[in-house]
Amino acid sequence: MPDITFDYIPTTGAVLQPDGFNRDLYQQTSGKSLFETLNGNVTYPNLNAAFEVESHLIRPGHTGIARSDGRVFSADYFSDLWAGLNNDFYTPVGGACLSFRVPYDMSYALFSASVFLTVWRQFGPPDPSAGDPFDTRLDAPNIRIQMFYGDTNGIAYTRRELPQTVFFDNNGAAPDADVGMVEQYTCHHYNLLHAKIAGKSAPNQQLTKGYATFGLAVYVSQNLNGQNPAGTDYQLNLILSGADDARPDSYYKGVQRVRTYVRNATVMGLL
Amino acid sequence: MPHTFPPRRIRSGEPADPDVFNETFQAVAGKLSGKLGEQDIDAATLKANVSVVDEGYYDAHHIVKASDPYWVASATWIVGFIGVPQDPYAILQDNASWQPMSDASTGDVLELNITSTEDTFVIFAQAQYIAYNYGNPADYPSIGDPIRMQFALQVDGVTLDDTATGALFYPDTPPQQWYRAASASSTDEFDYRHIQYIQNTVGMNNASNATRLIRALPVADGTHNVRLVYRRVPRNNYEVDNDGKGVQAVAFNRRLFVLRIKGNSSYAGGAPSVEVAAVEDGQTLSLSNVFTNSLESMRQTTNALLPANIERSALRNEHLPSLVYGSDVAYIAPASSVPVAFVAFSAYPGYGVDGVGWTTANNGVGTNLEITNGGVGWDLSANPGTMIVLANIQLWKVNFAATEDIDCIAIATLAFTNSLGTRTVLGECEVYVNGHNPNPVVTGMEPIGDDIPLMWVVDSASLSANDKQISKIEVLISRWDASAAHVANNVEVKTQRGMITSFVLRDVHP
Repeated sequence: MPDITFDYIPTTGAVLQPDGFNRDLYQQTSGKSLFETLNGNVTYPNLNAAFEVESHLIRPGHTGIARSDGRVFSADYFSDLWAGLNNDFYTPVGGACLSFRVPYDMSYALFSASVFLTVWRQFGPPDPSAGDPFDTRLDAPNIRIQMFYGDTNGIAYTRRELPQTVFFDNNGAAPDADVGMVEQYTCHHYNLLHAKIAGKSAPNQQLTKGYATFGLAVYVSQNLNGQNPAGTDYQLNLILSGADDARPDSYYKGVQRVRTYVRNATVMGLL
Repeated sequence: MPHTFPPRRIRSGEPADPDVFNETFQAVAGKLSGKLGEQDIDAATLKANVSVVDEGYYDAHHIVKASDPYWVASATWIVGFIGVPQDPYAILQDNASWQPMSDASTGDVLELNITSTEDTFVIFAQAQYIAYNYGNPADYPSIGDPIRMQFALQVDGVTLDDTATGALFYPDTPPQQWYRAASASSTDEFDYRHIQYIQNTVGMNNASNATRLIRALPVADGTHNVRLVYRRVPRNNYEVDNDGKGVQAVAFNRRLFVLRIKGNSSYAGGAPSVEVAAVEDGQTLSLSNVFTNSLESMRQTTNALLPANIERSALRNEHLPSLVYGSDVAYIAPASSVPVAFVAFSAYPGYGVDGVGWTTANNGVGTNLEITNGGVGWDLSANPGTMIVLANIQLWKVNFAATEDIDCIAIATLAFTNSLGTRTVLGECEVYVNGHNPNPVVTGMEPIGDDIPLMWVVDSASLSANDKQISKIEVLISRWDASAAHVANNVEVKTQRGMITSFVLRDVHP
């Protein structure tokens, strides 16, 4: 609304004209009366030339939002043990995910997912006949982590392949009689980021008003130890091994695991 | 304030009633006295035109310690870093309780004290640590010396548990046996050699690594202390360090940055001066009391509104312009599963020194990990403020070409190019990650599965005129051989995916 200019300006000695006075107070024509302007039509030209928005004028939360969530207990994520359950999906990590309301379109949004983890990524099927359970070492499929946004959208540039578990003794020496499958050397802390920006294209397009979900997911693929799951050996290995132990040999190849420790998800959105 | 209308009208032929004038004038004056509300203000024109007082939305607090490990010039690196002319390093003491990170020479703590109202903090922190053997400072730390380093954020003395880089509780869940391996002996006992060993998995164990923490936190009125803290988590026997041998850890580059998103800021301006004298019984109507000092006065006020005329918290996002400038993001996500190997480049040129030893991280087929703000660069003269750059680069592998060795160091940092085409390598952003998780049985076992976090915060006021015109920001990769030879050996670095993003908060100066 432009600045107000009155239609009627009384003068000394003249009779006050009620209609003119009333129109100065209110009339529908814009820029002609006080009430018409002040009732929802205050615009930028009405502001003093030196006007600047000060902090106290801003409604809390209307220049940006930030949320965090996290968990401190350890949680394990396993691969499927059996061929028929070969469900290779990314599983969201509780505590490293966040759903939140986006109150308005954000010009810039930063998504952070942090996790400390170790992995148990077995490689090589045991070979009891050779006396070395790891005589034949074949690469196991990588365990992965990756950020996601929404229900299904993985963010490929945040994908990280996790290390294999190393075979060391406690002092870092080569395997010996005291060999252990030492997980302590696979400790990693990740702080992965994703950004959404006005004017950018997918997957970085603007974070708009509504609800949003993002976080970190793990992908623990079934460990076939390089074998063809349709092959004879693989099928045989699914048979229970014998009377001395009822557990199936497939444990040898099935288990891969991620242990997530302290983790956190944080989002920052700026107007 | 809800819309209001003239409560009374004056009419021809009626005696002039002072109440008619007074009620009408006060309705307007009351609205102008700090009661103009969100419904009264047209959002579109305000958003497009209005200025915002400096740090009206946000303010920023930043402390950075740029500390050089001094690897290049030192014959034995661990001696060389002492006394170099950068910021002091911080010794990370052997203590299982959370400790502030303090400068070795001055004792200054890496902390920020921030006075706030009911605001939201977004806390960013980064630290680079290097560990070495206690008994032999020339000996680069062994992978057999897990240091179980944890970092966390602390506000007002309270550790934010969910920021800890490790297990909050220790020892963690006891080791477990996942399978029955066939006996490797003549007995029928299970082969316990292959029991999963997860002891010491409670903190970062690399000899050299970097970490970055990010956390949002709502805070109350008052002054708040924000710290990056650390601890050395003990083993199951509650002794810090390993087998009595132990390692010493030192933090070099480290940074703490807090963005305060303002909430309920208190009003510090003057009171509105909209005063209309009442018309009294018996008073002669004059131009002054029915117009000049009433209608006309309020018209002039309405035509030049000040913050004092507007209701507290009246302006919503619809009214407000964005103060974010120069946001950009880029990434490399090779379609191929083959990581990009850097093998034929020169050695690390030195802390913050440009040279052929730096190679821009890329996807192997010509796409660099860099941002240019859509090709137009950043003009921080016209848009002064605080620039924040964040990046990640996946470290697939760092090793000697033929062997696995923890003495291999992958180095990454950020660099910017100014209007003259001069590139500045940012020493304060350098991070170093040693080779780890090697396998002496199957050479080349990959990946090591690590990730390098990078961060740069700069106040444009601290940049030269040329450097305020930034055309490009990029992620650089280098290498160093930390073995006794201290030469750029045939260290190979492999990277794969990565991202870099930036934004500038205009008129915000830490």
